Amino acid sequence: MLFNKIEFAFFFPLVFLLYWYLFNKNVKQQNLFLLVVSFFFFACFDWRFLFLLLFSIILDFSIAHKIYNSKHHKKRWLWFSILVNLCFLGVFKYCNFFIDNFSETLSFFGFKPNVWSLQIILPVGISFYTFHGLSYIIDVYKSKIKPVESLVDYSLFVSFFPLLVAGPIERATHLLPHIQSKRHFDYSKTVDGLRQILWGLVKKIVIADSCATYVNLIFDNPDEYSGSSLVMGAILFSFQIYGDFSGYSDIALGTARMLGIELLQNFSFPYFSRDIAEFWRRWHISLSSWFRDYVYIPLGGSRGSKWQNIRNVFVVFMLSGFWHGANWTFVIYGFINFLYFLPLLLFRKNRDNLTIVNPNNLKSILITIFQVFSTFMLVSLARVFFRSQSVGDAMMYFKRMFSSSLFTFPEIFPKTVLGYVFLFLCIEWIGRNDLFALEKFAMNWKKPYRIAFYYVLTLLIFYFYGQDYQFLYFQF
Amino acid sequence: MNTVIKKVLLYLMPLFLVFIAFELFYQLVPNDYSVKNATIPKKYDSTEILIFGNSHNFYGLNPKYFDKPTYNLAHISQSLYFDKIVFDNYIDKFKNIKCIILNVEYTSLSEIVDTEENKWRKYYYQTYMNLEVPSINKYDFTKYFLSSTRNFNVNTKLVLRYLKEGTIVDCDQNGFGINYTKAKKIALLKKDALTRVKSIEDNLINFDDNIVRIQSIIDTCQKRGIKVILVNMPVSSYFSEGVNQLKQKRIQETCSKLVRNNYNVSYLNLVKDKRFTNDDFFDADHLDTDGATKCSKVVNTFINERLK
Repeated sequence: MLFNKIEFAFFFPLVFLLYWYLFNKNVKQQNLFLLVVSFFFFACFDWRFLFLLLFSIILDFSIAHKIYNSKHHKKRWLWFSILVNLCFLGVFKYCNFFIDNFSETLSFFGFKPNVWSLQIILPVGISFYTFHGLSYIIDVYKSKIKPVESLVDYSLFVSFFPLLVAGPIERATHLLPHIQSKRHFDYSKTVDGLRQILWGLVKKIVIADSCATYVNLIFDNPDEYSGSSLVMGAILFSFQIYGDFSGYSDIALGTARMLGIELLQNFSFPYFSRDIAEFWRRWHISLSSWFRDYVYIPLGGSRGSKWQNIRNVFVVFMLSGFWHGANWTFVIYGFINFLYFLPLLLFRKNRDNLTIVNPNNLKSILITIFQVFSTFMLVSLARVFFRSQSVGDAMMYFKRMFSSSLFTFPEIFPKTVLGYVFLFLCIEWIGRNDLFALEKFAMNWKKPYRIAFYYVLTLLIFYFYGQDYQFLYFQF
Repeated sequence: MNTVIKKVLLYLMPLFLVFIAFELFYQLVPNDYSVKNATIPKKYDSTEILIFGNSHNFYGLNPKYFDKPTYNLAHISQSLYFDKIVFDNYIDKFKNIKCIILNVEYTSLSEIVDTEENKWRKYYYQTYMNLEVPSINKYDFTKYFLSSTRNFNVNTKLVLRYLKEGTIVDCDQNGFGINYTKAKKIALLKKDALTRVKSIEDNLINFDDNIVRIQSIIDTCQKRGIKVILVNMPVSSYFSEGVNQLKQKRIQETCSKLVRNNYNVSYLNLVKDKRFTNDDFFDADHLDTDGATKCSKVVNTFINERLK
């Protein structure tokens, strides 16, 4: 059941009504109901993986208590949990990657290994709920939180349906207090949630899916197009992945808000970033901050020598790349971003742009445009690796892109789609100081105009609906 | 709470009405699938030849030009996966089938189950033809809301076409596609061929799943004494030259192997048949109605020889 499918349009209103009308007596009832619908939501993808999710939940729930109650073996339990969780990821996500690379390495040295690949299906959301569990265990170990007494509450923390399959990756310290306290219906939050869902659907269906048609065309046959068209492909892919993933996050956040639960912000207008460090503070924030808190800081963070700092950043970028999937393309994607980041780190410029861009005079406008554009282009070029099936494909894409045909007019120049992207960016720019672009946009308009504006967005969703592209981050 | 519900309902009301109108349109207005489903029972006793396959057969083989009573069960984008489902559902209902025609060719042999086209057409098979389609999940709600299988744009175009022409049915009483006439023919055949070759290329040369399906159909036919004719339909020279020749060769070899291994199977390869010129085509790889007449006669002669 995907957020942009008809099933969800029936599922969620039903859940919403039952939740606020029937299961609203106390927090236990609310949580139990949300847990049941979350499991149902997950089972709709593949019920067999429900057992894996349950196992993961019970394991981390029990170990958290062991850690809390143990006087001498806290560390041992912590590592046990980390190892088991990573083993799950290893088996389901990376097993064939390691087997293939092992086989290729042996072949390189002249051996003829008789290795096999396993037919393993990647369980939906495994990268996300494993990280939920890990964050909980580590926080308990560090005494940031006490272990949860109720298995229902903990299960809901891991499997709350809006974030179960593609994040945001929540923290126990943030989400558990929401789960453990009774939610009360709030009109303004509900309307706010609806607005965020509407904006998320626009991002996914109008922007991402429209771009996807051209992106698929270009990336599937890069040798058929000029360099300039391939640049267009890379740019469109940047908008596709942003619309797709941040659209999903917006729907997740809006859905949760309507149920009285606030999730972590996952995107904060990343394409208005002025440098790559700012970009990574604004893109997939829940993952970046997860790596910051559970990898970068434990490794020493910015303390220690320059080299140690560089090493720590390197580790985080490589892990972040590899988290996306078992393919060298993702590792290289991580490495390229590390290379982008390195000069900022060396010249101590990585914390120059901590607040959202707000140019106030002509000079700063021009400088900002240059910075934002160059950051966007760097990100888009690195994403060629992200989108390509193999490193060879990506290299071929670049070879073709940087040929003499780069200076011709692109054969693929989807004016309408680019027009929508432009309008979308305008709205995002106006709303860039808010949680999401539509949060306060048009709020000071007269009511009929505001409703008309929402109606235009709704009609656009209906107009573009049916292109049937899956959410990109489901594969992770 | 009640205020929110009221406001949301009020906001969505016009959209609900449009949605209901589209849904009524899909449920009430006849289309190729529902027309075939209504016509087929009348043909159970008389039909001797059944035509399966995709648009190449749908638009390319006109039952009217066959000597024996024939019915065209092909559909646009009907993959071998659906051929088998349609075949399994109907074969026992037809009492006098002597021969079936399957199109096994470049666009069908490597085709996977859930192609972009079949992502929405599968619901049509289930709803309009009452077929059990395994690729539709038990909990897939889309099957109950056909208007949600296509986007708003397509739905609107279909409604407008219905309002203008009074029908959206493209087949006659024998199931043959009548819409590809010479008058509507695509002007730039060469350009169309380049686009088509690109769009149909799946870069797959693994035919295993579809061979299993074909073999299963052949086995059932063998038990019932039915001949199976594998046809590779004619295409324009631009198209046949544009496709991967190695893959084309492997398809022909696969068909020949099926003929060698099964006594009830014959193979008719019309891909580069000299009797067909580019003038016979509606577009790069579909015959127009005149070309279909010519092709139907050729296939009819071939079948008559096999049924002697």
